[in-house]
Amino acid sequence: MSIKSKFRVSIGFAVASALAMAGIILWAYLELLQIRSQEAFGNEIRAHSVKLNLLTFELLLHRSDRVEQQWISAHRSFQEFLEARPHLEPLVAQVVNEAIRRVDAVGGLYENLLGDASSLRGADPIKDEAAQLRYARILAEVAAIISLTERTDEFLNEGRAIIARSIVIYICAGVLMVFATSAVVLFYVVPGLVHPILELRTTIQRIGAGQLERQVLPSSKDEIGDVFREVERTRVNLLVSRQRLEQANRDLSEAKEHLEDRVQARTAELDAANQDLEAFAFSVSHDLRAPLRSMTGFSQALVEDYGEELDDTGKDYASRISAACNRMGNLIDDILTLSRVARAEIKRTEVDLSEIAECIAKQLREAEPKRAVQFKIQPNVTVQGDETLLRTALENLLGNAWKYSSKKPQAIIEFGMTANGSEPAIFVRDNGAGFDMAYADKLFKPFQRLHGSDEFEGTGIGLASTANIVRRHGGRIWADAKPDVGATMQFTLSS
Amino acid sequence: MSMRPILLVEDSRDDQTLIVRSMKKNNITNPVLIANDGVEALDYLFGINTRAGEAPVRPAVVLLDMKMPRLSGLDVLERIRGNPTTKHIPVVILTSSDEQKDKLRSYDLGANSYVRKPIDFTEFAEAVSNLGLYWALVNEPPPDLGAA
Repeated sequence: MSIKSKFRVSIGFAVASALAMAGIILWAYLELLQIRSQEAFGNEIRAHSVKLNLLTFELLLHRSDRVEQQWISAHRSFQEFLEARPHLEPLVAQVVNEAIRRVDAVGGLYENLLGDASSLRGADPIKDEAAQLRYARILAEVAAIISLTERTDEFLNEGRAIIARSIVIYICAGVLMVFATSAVVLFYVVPGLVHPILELRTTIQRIGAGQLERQVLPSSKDEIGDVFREVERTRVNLLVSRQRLEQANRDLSEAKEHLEDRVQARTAELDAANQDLEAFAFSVSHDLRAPLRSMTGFSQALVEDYGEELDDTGKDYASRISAACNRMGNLIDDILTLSRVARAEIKRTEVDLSEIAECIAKQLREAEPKRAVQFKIQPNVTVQGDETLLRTALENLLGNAWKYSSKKPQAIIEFGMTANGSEPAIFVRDNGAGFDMAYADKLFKPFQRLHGSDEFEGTGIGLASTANIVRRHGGRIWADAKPDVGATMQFTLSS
Repeated sequence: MSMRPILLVEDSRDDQTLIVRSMKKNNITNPVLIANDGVEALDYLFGINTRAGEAPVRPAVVLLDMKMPRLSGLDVLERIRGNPTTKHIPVVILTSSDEQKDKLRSYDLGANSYVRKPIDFTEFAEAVSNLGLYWALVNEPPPDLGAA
């Protein structure tokens, strides 16, 4: 049963009880009115009887026409009164009927009395036994009528008492009904409302705390039951969402594990590749050098020990072998530098590039003291980076500037830092041979050269190593040049 | 004055020839003993195996190549420094390797010098003669403790 119906029934019960009680009170009121009207009727009868009685005595004592007339008038009005009786209780009606009969009888007795009027009139009724008897009978009848009214009174009193009892009983019944309704409301309707609400609260608290596994069963069939069903629907949705989320999490961690496995595998591969590279580097530095040394050594020994037996062409061939061996040696050295740069761990410290540049310039001057080169080195250019690698980078850049400006009588090599927008760039500028910018993209790739070996010696690895060093520092490198005017190499380092 | 020998431990016949030639050209007259690998070097130094019964050699200097078959130069160095009778013998690592870790390892094991074989013959000859001059003639070797 729905809560609305429960309330309707309860209120209906209360209204019905109130109406019933009002009905009882109305009924009692009407009954009392009835009794009072019958009581008034009885009193009238009594009044008529008493009047008739008094007139009979009057007649007995003072027999006169006036009294006779009065008696007859009273008797008639008594008869008329009785005949115009209202609706009466059966018992009262019975009494009235008897009263009518007796009043008629009184009338008959009076007729008889009047029939003897001649004898009676003037006679002393007190002394006349016959008259006395007739009077006495009239008086007896009247007295009987009076006593009838007493019976009516008794009956009416009894009715009143019955009504009073009924009222008490019915009111008690009404009160009991009200109590019963209240009890039903208190012990059935209210608990029926409160218990599901408390259970609902517990259920929602449980769901709020994340315990979603237990099914929510409606504990009532009313509107709260509907709320339970909604809560159950919400619980199921939440559970499904949570399961999906958990599944997604599992998938994610699996993917993560998978990824970690792959990273580990890749790292292992990388380590293996690095070891291969180291083995290769060792092999290059040791095994490739040995035959070179033999070639250069024995060609030189040939010239030194058997030079007299060789003509100029033979000597030229021997020196070409030596020169080729030297070039190959330089190539091997540069490849080693490149591989070392690629493998080196970056150890960042504060590095004074100006100091390093001065040092390199000094070494270059000492190596070729006859050249007139003007170095313009900006002091106090300091950066954060790996000193060994940055030294290699500057050796390459300044070495290139030195090399490519070798054909200028007034060579100028500049080193410094420019505020290149927000990121300061370090530059090395020369006024040497320069190059065609169309080939600039080849500049930083290994073994790529923009000049012939006859023109300028080189392996094409130095700038590749330098670019690698700059990249390892998180910076970038670029060049700007013009043939026969010079070249400017610039690079940045991330801080 | 009896000249102490120079022990050249080198697996490359070419290098052996070039080194011996350079020494002769630079008037280093010390006898040069040649071991073709680490095992032969130990045979010389401790009078064992192929040289069993012969007196252990106490050279003025050991010129030691690093990469050799059987026993490497670093292993030989470790054995020399590990033996009380040979631990003071000057040892010069003479190698093609320019690897940092090789240098560090050599000095860790107690090498007296680390020389990289140059490719250029002139430089090579210079290096060898400088080595010979210094270690065979200039340097005072430790007293010969273990020699008979």
